[in-house]
Amino acid sequence: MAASAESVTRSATALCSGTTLPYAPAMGHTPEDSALMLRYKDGDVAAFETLYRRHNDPLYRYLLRLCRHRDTAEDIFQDVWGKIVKSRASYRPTAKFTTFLYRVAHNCFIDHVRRNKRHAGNTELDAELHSHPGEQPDTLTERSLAKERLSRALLDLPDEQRDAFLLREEAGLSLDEIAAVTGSNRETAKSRLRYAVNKLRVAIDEQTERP
Amino acid sequence: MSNERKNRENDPLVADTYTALAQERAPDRLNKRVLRMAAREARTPYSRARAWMRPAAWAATIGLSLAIVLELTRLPQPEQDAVSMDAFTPKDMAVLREADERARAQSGAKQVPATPSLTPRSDALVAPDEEVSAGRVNADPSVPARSEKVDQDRAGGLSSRRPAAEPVLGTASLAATAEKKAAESGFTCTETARESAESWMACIKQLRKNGQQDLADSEYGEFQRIFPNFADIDADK
Repeated sequence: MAASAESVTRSATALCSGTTLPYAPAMGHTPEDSALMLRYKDGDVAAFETLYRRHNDPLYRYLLRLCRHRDTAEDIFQDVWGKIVKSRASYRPTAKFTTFLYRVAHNCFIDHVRRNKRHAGNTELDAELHSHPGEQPDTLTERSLAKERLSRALLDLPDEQRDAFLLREEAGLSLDEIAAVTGSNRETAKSRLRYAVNKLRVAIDEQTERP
Repeated sequence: MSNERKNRENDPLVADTYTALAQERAPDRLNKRVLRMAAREARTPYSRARAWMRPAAWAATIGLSLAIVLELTRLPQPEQDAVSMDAFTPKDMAVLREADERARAQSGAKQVPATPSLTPRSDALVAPDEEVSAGRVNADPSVPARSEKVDQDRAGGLSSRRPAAEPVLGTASLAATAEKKAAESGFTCTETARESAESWMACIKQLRKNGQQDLADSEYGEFQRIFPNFADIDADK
């Protein structure tokens, strides 16, 4: 109930600001997602394409910021969709498709971290995300600065907290769903999300107050 | 405190800033690769099989059901006459006999002089229609050749009979069938043997002589019911 209320508030905020939530297509379309997946299970490729177009960008951003490395994110992205495609025969719409998708993505990321210990400290994305080609630092607006500070703070977050924050922002998952995806309980998910949001807020405020 | 915590879990400034920040899109080459993979997987033999597997399974089920139903309808049905005749009591037998006699009287047919048969089984199985077809009804009783021929036919038992002629004569046929069933269930004296008390008694005595005591007793019970005043010292021995 609280989660749906938050979603409504967030959607309203997005409409007022003229921005589009990255996970908006997935919200409230869970039955269609499941139906599309079931149609793909029966061989309807067009249904899968519709499903893919709904979720590809949020999932890509989720993995991009979770991995902090573009090539790795792309590899995992492909791996995730490959697993979704292969699991269609056994797919049962027992939960939201979004939860299912991000659970697969989360597990792929964990597998990747376990396989590749060098993941820690690999922050190739830092320079890429923070560069503003053709824009001098003194011309950056306050909003651009806030975005940059947020981006840095996000990459500095512990993996679990960043994961929880990205699941909320990109996938639009509730606390229960975040807990289900990350394999933790609701309180743990809530605590991680709160810490993440607090750190990011502090980072934005600090940079705003500094000048 | 709870509101403060709730706000901290969902900070609008953080959310808006992140939304403004996160504008990356999945590369087209990646999209093409994934969609190509999905299309390739959807064309696997398993998926192609799925398209016709379900209708085929339904068709097979329906076909099998129809085949079973057809097979059941082709099974030989139990003889209706046998079921009904088994339920006849001696009283019913008497009624049937009377009806048979009435039918014969109406048709004006001459009856063959009653001669007690000493071969109960073969005589009991003869239907009136056979008598007609053998020429006994309208034929002169003084002509023994035909009568002997019929007797030979009777002695042939069930195998020499013509089953197609049986249902033609209505009540008479029903009586004949009743006779047949009666013979199977113990009443072995023929209709002709039962026409007179003497011939019937002779038949009963013959049964006793042959050692068929049970059949003779049941015949004698029936005999006493039809001819209560007839006295024969040896019959109930």
